[in-house]
Amino acid sequence: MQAGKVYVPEEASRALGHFFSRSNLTMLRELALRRAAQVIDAKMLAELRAQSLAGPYAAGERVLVAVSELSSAPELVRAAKRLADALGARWTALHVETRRSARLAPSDRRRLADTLALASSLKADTATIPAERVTEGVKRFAAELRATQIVIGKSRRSWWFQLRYGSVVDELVRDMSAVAIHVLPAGEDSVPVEPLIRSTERTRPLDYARAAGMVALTTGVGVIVSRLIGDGNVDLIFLVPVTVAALLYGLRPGLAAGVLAALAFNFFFLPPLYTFTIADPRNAVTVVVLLGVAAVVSQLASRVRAQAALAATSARQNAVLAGFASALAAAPDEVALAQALAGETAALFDARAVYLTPQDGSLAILAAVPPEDTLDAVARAAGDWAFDRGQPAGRGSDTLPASDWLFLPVAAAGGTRAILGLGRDDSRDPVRIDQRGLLAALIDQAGLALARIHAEREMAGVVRLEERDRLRSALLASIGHDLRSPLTTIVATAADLAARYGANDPAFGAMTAEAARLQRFVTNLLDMAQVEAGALKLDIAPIDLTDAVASAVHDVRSALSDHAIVLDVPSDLPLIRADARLLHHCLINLLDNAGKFGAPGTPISIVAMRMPDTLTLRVLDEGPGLPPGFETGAFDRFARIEGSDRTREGTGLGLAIVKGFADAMGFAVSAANRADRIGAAFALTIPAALLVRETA
Amino acid sequence: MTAKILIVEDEVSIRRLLVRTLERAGYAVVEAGDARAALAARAIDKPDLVLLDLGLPDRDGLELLPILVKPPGPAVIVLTAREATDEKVIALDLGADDYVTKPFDTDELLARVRSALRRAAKAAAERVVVGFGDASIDLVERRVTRSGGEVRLTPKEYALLAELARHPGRVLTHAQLLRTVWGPAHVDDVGYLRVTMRGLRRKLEPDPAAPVLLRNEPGVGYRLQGNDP
Repeated sequence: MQAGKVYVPEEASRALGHFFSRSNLTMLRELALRRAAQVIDAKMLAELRAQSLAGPYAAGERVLVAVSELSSAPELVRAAKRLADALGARWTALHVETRRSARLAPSDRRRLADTLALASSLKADTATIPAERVTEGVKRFAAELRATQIVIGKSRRSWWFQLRYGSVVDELVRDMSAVAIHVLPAGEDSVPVEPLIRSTERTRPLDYARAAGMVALTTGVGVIVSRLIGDGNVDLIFLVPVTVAALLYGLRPGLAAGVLAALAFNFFFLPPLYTFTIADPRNAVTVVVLLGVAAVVSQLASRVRAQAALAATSARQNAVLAGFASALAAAPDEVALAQALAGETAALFDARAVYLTPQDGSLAILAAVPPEDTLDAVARAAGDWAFDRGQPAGRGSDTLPASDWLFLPVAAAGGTRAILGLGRDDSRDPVRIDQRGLLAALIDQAGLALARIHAEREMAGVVRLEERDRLRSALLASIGHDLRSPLTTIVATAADLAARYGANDPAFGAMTAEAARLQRFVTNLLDMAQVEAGALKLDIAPIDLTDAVASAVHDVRSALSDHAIVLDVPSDLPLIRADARLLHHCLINLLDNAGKFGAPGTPISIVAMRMPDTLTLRVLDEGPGLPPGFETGAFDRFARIEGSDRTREGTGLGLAIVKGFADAMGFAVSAANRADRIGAAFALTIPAALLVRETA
Repeated sequence: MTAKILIVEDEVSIRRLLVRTLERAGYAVVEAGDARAALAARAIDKPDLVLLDLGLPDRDGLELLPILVKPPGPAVIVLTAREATDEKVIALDLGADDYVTKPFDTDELLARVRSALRRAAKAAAERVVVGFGDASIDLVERRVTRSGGEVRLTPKEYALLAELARHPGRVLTHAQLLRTVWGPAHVDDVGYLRVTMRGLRRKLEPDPAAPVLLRNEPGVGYRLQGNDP
């Protein structure tokens, strides 16, 4: 025990009482759990990277919401946001681009873009990935993201649609057993999905001719082969042109090739030869197979092509974004950023681009490509609207579409900082709907860069300000010191002279009094300088008004020897939260002011009163009172009563300091004439929030 | 025996006036213009009291202070030209006996000097009964009387009054009082101190609304205005 390995019983119980309290233990547990979660998360990430495990190894919750172009998608996004908030999780809005995406109506595209923008504004990450099927895309992305919760809408589609295309939800539930899937009912499809067979790929007549040529060539080869080895397996040769035609030219040329191949096979190789008659039912099967192969291969090929096209688009966009991002990273200021953004978008969308920032209350052009310095009134109105609302305006948007320009907000650090305008002369929409996503991504990048530039500038500003503050404090301190030292000498000399040559000589008393007044002016000037500079450092603590008043009265006692000071400060007032030194100076200045205006011999009263939810401290004099209309101006700097016959000395700073200090502490000040007699009343009102609740 | 006072002040005019004032009051005076001279004088002259100006040319007065007061050192009264309360609080917490703000009233300075010398002459343990106003506290019997009658205090009120009475006339900072009376965990609970002080004043002050015995130093602490013996 002496080695300190054992708790002495009293110490143990004290420790139990003091340290192992319920709140401390709860805090400890929380700390431990949080730390453990962090460690596990970090280890697991390392593990996953090392082994490239695919699967949801969730440490923290991650929510994934799959959005489509349907009108119910925004609802889905909001639901996901609520879920993410409830879980304290990060969340991602995902759109899977399938071949169907290429065939969406413009209104659907806009809705989709709006939905993703909504998600982005609700602090979601957004992603658009190409995939063959929605299910596959969601699964792949969810695995990459290690999502633990998936929110998805289930549309009320007809049973035959489900039979043909399957249900995304059912498939997800089946394939992603370790993930919670939240299914929300969604509305009807606004546009019926077109059958997949009606591809939008254009086929050219030449493709049919080439397909026919291939079949012809194959027929020739087939004839030669059948001469050499017999015609038993010639049918297989015809698979070649059918497959190639379907692969290269798409479905219809492929089918055409299939029909031609079947006909040619029938005509040249099936008995009876050189007729289109089929004698053997088995040979009929061969023809059907050829047609079937054409259909299947062309389907597959067109899927592959569509995927390749989507991937190529994504890759192109990513390349643009990556290039732009590095250009932005190098931008040292907003002008460079504006140039980069305007230049990039102008080139990319073959349009004119302007970048506007607010200057002196209106938007001004910071950069334009090609150089431009005016915008017409409609464009300006659209620009202002876009900036004020933080939403797109102008051509191609819902607001002021008559403008030649489309304006998009550039948001940074929680607000719209600038807008980008794109315009064309040929009255087409400046940005095609399918390019909106890319444009939004570019603008997001610019927003991030802008936030960085702003942060850097603010940082530099803060450093400058801190430096200035430091200098100012040092200067104030040294002025205070430099002025006090000679004053000290004067006061001490006066006392010394009085002691040596007769303490009753009024000259010495006057000297001391004047020095004391000078001293108060110096203090006031320094105080005022602090208020003006905003350099007040508060040290807020509970204060008893009795203490504060008594100390202030003690300090002004000798200066106000002409007046009786009457105190009415109940001893059961609540404590207040204030800075002792500032409050002290407030009170001294109020008393000083009362002494200046109260006729000699009249009392000065200090009255503290508890109001229903505030506390007021009033200093009352019996002077001439305030002239009408002076009540509000009394606390202004250098406020003096005009035409006053009392030319009392003072800098006019006292009450301004009272106000400055009171404001800093959160008190209110007011001035009024007394109701009970002639005289002025100056009040400090301490709000309920600064009253300390009664303690035992 | 005349008490010996060391004046550490770099401004010659003030130092000279201080010397004259203190000599006239009957003290033996030693002067120093900087920290080095001050430390030398402390070792050689063994003053009973040091008047220390915090703004010295060669060393921060707050650095010098702990060295000066190291037992068996003199009592130190700090002279400061700064209004800010934090410097005074730090000085008191570092062991200064009292502080005086420039420009000071000579009579007030002499009163502080007398009070500090009295405290230094009589160790806290030897002080048994301390009188203030019409009341007194007996630190051995743990009794407080006022106008002959016994005053009933709560344990905290008594502890607070006793701590102040052990150093009559000296400012004890909020933190010092809270640490001694409420314990180290409550150094920042100034509210406790205010409320308890209110109770004490109600029982001991002639006019609790205008206290003269238990005096507040705004933003610094409290002092008990004891009766000079």
